[in-house]
Amino acid sequence: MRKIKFRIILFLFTIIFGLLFLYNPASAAYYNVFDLDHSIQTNSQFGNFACTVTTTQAGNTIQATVNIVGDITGFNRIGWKLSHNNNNDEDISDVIDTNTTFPKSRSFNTTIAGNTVYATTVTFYSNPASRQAIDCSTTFTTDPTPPDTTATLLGRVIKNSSDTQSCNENRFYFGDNCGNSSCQGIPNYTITWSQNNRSQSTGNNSCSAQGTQNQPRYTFENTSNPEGDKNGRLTSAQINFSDPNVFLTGWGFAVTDPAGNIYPGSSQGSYFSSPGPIQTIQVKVFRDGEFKFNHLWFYYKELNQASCQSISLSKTTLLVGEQFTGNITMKNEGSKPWSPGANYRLGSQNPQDNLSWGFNRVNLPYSVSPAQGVNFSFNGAAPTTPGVYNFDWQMVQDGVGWFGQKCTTKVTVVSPPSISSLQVTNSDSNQTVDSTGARFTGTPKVSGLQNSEGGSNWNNPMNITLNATAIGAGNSIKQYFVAFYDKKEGTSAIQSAYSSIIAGPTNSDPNVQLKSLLIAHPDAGFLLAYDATTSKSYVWDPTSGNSNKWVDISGYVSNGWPVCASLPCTNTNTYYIAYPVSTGVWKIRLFSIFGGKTMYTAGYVTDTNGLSAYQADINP
Amino acid sequence: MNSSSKLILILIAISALIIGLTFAIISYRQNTPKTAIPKKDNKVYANQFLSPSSNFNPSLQQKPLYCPLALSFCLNKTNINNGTLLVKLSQSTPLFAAFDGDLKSLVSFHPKGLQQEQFNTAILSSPDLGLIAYYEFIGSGIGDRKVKEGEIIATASSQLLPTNPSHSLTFQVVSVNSTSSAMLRLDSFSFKQ
Repeated sequence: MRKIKFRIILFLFTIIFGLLFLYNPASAAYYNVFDLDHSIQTNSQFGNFACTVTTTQAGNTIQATVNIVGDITGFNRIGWKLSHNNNNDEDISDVIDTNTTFPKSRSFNTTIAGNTVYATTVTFYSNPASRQAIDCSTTFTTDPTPPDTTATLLGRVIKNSSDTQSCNENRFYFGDNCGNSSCQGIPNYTITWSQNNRSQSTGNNSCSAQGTQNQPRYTFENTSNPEGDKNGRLTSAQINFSDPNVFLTGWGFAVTDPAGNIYPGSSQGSYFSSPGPIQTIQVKVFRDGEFKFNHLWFYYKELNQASCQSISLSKTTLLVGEQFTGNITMKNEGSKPWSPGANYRLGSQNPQDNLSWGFNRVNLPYSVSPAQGVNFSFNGAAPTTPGVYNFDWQMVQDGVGWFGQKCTTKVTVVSPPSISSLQVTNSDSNQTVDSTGARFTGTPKVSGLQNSEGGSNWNNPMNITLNATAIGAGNSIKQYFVAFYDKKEGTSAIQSAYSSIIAGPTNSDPNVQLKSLLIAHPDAGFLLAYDATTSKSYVWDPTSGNSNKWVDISGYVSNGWPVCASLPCTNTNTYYIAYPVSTGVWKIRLFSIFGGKTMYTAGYVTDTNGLSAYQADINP
Repeated sequence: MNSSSKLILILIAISALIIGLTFAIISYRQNTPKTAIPKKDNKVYANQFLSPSSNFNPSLQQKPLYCPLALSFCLNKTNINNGTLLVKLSQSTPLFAAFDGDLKSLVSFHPKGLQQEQFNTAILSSPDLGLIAYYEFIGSGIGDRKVKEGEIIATASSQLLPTNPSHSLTFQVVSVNSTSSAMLRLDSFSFKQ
């Protein structure tokens, strides 16, 4: 028995669930309306009863007030029930009111979408068994929902019942009914509008419409008699915008009929879609008749729009992690002013919100009116990984959205060359390379000037090998520089010493000998560069007087010999030996005494990217 | 209430729950924004480009600027439009520092169709004065360095700017408030004579 009961319950559940699954609110409500309306009678049965409906509208919310006036004589118990149906035939009100005092008013609110016809019915009860109804049907034409909810309704044109003939602002008649033969064929009207009014030009044949920054929606309604003029049809309409500030976005022009016809009794409407100042929809009338341009909404949209004026950087090739200054100039091309308080900012793009440059927002420095430009200046740091990076920026109103033209460029981020080792080797017992391989000490066995290669003095020079690596595809080491220097360790400076350098792995060129006077300078590193294109020699001066830069010492070098009038040279900023080579292999020879001091080596390389690396006292 | 009735009620409740969830999901999906809205978090802001130093003196900010080019250009009010000094230069016109400050040299690109036209932007800033001056021109010899008022900072050509095709120099000044991060673009200038 329990099993049978369970099966019955299960069966019932299946039925209930199936019904719920098949539930269609629209169709269900539809039948409900019929229930309400079944007893509609003629108004005469209510004596002098009449009803009017007034509406107010805020967006898509309609507030309707039904006013009932009349005489209740003959009804000993009066109640009334208000209902209205929208497209879904939904009964939204079921109010029983036993108050018999008239006039009577009742308001209700509803949110409706689209261009909807509402029928409002007031049902009177003399008693529950014989309720009577009068038809208070009215039409609510709601504002269409704009594709962008930030759009503001600028104004609407609604059919005016008193407008029956001329091509005035509320109806657009084409053909004979227009009363203007010039409107036949392809009619043209000039429509202008501003925030609170709309007017039509007086030109009979001119039909181009001009708009400001609006987002118009059009609806064409063909009100020809469906039965009497099935072939009279409207295919499309034309409105031209000549204002360059018109920005149109949203839904496309679409008609449900594949041929684009709007047959009598039907209407079509949509938003203009394609952006641009000129939008054209053309109306063609295929048969004379009354074609109404029934409803027209103009939406004004406060637009955020921007154009990129310029994008600036300290340079477009940066070292990894290098600090840089950037500036981006944006122009407010929209209708809304930008202000810092309204969260207008510059944001990184491609990819959106990337932090490649250390930040992804630049605050708006000051308020910017429409048509005004603004400089976004900032300091940033290059990414730490070499590569080619997008440097793309766009205006954003945080919390609202991105907008406007992007400022874009590409930045190449590179690594400088890397010096891996600087090795000194020596077979001259008088000069000793220490365990680091980069420092050497000793007393050269020969003193005096040496201006030519040869002789026993050139035996056993020290070899210096600088190894460096270029980083990045297509990059290579362009020049090698080496030097040795005195850190002025100990108490005495080097007073007079002479050196010679033989560039490259061979020593065949006597002119590459450099004779230098070693005058110690505190922490004086030295690097000598030779620019083959200008035949100039440069020394890297780390002293404060020359602020770390290459100093042209061509005037002090002649055929590899520095110019110094007498020994010891008193120029404490004179530095010594180095010579650019392409192989990174050097031979040097010290001729004079450097007092047993430790001499340090330094290396400097440049690559084909124009980048350089310097390192002193390199441990191999 | 017998057990069958209870079961029916439970089943109805489950059905209602399923339907409710279905409507909730549909409603959520319909209300999901279609445009990408930046998330409110994960924002890292660039440091303010110029913050006034402890030496900032608002009264100095009000003093006349050194004309960035020959004084006659600056005294001609028609050259100043909406806070921008706009001038058509002759070839090799020296540009001067409008005040003591740090000069930054930037290479600038103007988007023009698919191409980018290049020009120069020099940014002169002074934390002590709380001023930033922007020079746009096509020229040479800017460099990053400290400059003194009246010092030549660059040489501009007569070439017209891609950002402003009628002029070869634009000059703007922004002031920085010492007490807040707000800046102000100067709408008018006064120049030393």
